[in-house]
Amino acid sequence: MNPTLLSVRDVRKRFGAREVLRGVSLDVAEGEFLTVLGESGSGKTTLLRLIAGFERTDAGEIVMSGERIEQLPPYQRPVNTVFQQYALFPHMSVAENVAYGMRVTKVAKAEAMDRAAKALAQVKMTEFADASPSKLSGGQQQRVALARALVNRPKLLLLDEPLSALDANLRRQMQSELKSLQREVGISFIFVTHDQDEAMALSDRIALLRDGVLEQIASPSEIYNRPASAYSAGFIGKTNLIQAQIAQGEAVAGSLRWKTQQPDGPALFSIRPENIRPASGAAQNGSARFAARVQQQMFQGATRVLWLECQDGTKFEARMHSGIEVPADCEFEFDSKDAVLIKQKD
Amino acid sequence: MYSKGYKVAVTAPPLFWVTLFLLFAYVILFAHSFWSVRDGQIAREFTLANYKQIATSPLYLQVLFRSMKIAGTVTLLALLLAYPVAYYVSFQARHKNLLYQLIIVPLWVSYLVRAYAWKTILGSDGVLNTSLQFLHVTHGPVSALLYSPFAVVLTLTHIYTPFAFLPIFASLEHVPRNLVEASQDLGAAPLQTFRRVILPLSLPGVIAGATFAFVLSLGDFLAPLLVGGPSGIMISNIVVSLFGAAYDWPLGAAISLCMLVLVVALLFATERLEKRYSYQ
Amino acid sequence: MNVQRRGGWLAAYSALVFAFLYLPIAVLILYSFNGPGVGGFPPRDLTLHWYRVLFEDEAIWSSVLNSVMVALVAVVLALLIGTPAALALDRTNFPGKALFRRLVLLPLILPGIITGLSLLMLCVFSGFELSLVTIALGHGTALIAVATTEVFAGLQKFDRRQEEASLDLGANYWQTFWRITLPNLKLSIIGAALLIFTLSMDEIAVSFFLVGRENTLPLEIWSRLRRGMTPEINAVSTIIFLFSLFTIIIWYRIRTRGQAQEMLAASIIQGENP
Repeated sequence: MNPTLLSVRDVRKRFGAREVLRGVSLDVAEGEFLTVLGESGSGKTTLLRLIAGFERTDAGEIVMSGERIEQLPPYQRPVNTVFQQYALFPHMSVAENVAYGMRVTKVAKAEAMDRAAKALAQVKMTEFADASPSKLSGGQQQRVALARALVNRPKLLLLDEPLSALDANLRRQMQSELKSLQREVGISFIFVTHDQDEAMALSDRIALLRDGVLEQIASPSEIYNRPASAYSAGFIGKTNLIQAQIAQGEAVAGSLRWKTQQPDGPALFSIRPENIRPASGAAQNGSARFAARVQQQMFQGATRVLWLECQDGTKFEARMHSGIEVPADCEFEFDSKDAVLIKQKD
Repeated sequence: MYSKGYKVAVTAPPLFWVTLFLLFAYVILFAHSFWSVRDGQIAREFTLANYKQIATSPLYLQVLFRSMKIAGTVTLLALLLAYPVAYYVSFQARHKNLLYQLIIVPLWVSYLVRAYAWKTILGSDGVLNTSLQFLHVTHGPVSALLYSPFAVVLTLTHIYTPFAFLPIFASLEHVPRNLVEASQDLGAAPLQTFRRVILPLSLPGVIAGATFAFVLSLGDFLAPLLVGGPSGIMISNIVVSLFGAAYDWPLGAAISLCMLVLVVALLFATERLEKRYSYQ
Repeated sequence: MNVQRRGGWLAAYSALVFAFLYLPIAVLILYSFNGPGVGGFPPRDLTLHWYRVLFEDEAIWSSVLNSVMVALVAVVLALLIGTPAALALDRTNFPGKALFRRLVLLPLILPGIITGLSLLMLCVFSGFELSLVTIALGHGTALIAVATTEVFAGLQKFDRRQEEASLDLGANYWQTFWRITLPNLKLSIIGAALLIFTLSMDEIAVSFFLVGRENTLPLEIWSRLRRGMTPEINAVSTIIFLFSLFTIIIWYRIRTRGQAQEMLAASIIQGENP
């Protein structure tokens, strides 16, 4: 991993009686695209605002490149923010908006306008330089907000749910533009969202926040395939959580049994729906089989979701290619390696 | 969604009333300005004599000029007092609601009470004078305090500052707070943020407040009568006397009409200005 | 958002301005209890004498009665004309609508002398004798703007879909107005009524030109002021101040309670949990 740019150390924040952040620590590497993911109320926006400087920490430190910044006002931090509703200045043109940060830090006008023009070109908004922000569409305002922030060459860019106001198609397009922009510019991005698909698509790492506490921080594939808790497993993607008893290398959950290396005792397993398939051929050693009735199906285009119920009442959600036909009563199987042990956090 | 009958029912009564009691009344005012007084009666023959008199008489022009100076001073002072307070209440104060109420209460408390209060304070036997003497700052009553343009300006500023406060406060409240954060985020110190973001966006409110203060001060006749004395006479006092002892309704109507036209023109101009500087 | 602390000088300045606004009134109140009346500082001989004189002053009481009657008529008049005017501005379009809107709102910003004079000339022109009736007419006409503004603001917060639902369920326009629209405008109308009442009680500029034989309270005070200062005036002013203060606080409470209720209503309509 690259050297650490930003260190958040045991940060706490309360609003009135409510403690919104309860000792959060994480590091952001240089050039990293980190997503802070969580439900509303998880504290993700508050964390962002603490890093930007719009709120002060109650406890803890924020260190950037060796310097403590948590007491500095926003205009003294080498951090820039892209706001959720863009916050473009309505009384200035697009070009003036983009040049603003340079003008107030006394950059010479000629240089400022030149850099602004280059920034606008980078987000493909050159032709709108003299337009008024109120005449732009959401996606266009988004790009101007990006240019306005990036032109100041911050060490870190904060993005507060910048795509949540856009419709689905535009959102997907902006996601890929954002990703390539980050690669191109090379600075660290901290991206806040509640949308887990977005988080998985864009990030180098995801920091999952829950009720003001850091639940897990890892790459998307690691969080997905090796969730640290039931919450992580359930929040990112869909999963089946199965309570089982492990004895002598075998996990038992009702009529279900599969081989496992984990130590004996009660355990919680996560099995992703796409890893459950209709049983075919002879039973393999490394897989588990069970009989179930298909209660309901939902067509979702490329895949189909099935809700299954076993005779002992255990329920599963399975996802498979929609071309596969499945009879009402069927045998299903999954590989033992796809049953992931979750540390018993709940 | 609304039937024609509905629309007529809600439009007709107010339209009728407003046409009769406002529009028609202004028309009659307009008509009177072209008449004259002969043998103690109003002669209803068209003449431009009144307007000629206004345009050429040094007295009227002098008083009009003084009235505009007073109104201008009041406006300036009202803005200087109202804007910082509005900013404080909107951006910094903790008990916003309470402070807002405290500012608007004087607005609704009788004009007469407030003007009279100043008369009490500024008079040669009044509070200011006697306390200055009591504190040995002065040795005798300073008579120039009362019955002067100064007293009129002071009283009118006192009365119209809350008028100016209201629209300024409203426009400051409307400044999206995330714009202030964005400005700080981009590196602007608080004073720069105020000058480049908050002030320009609050301009419509300032224009509206200034208009209120100026127009209402210009047409005021009560304060000059109470605290103005002969040197503090304003244009409306001349009109009042023309409708009273110096019986000449047509001339009074002509001056009033000039005021009306001036005010309406000013309102149009400031409305245009407000639109230009409003970015909603 | 962070509270900017700039040495607190803004707070100090604001305190000074508040002092400027309230000090004269405080002085008045103080001197209403002063034995010898206005002159002289510091006040000596605190007494309720002037309040007793005031209480026995018949002319003042009859002018108060006149003012109340005039104010009540003004409220009814302004609301009867102003409410349909607000509805018309909100829901219709007709040639001259802009002029109509400006005419209605003009008396708010026009100096009282112009409104008063034009109405005076209208009365004289039509041979109408000046009296409390003409004063009430003048107040009502000038204050239509207040009614219209408050009701119009109330209409903006009102969700028109309620009316659509009512029509859909079979009510006609009149029923919809009475059962749906008006109850929702209740707070705006009450607020407007309070404001109009207070403004009418205090009104002097327009009344000045429309007065007949009987005075309203401000006119009565005015005529005494012209004749010379009586300390009784301080007592009257204090009472007027307290009464206006009381009324405006009630008005404000109604308004802010209305806002809270409207937000609650809006969230219910949009299907959120309260």
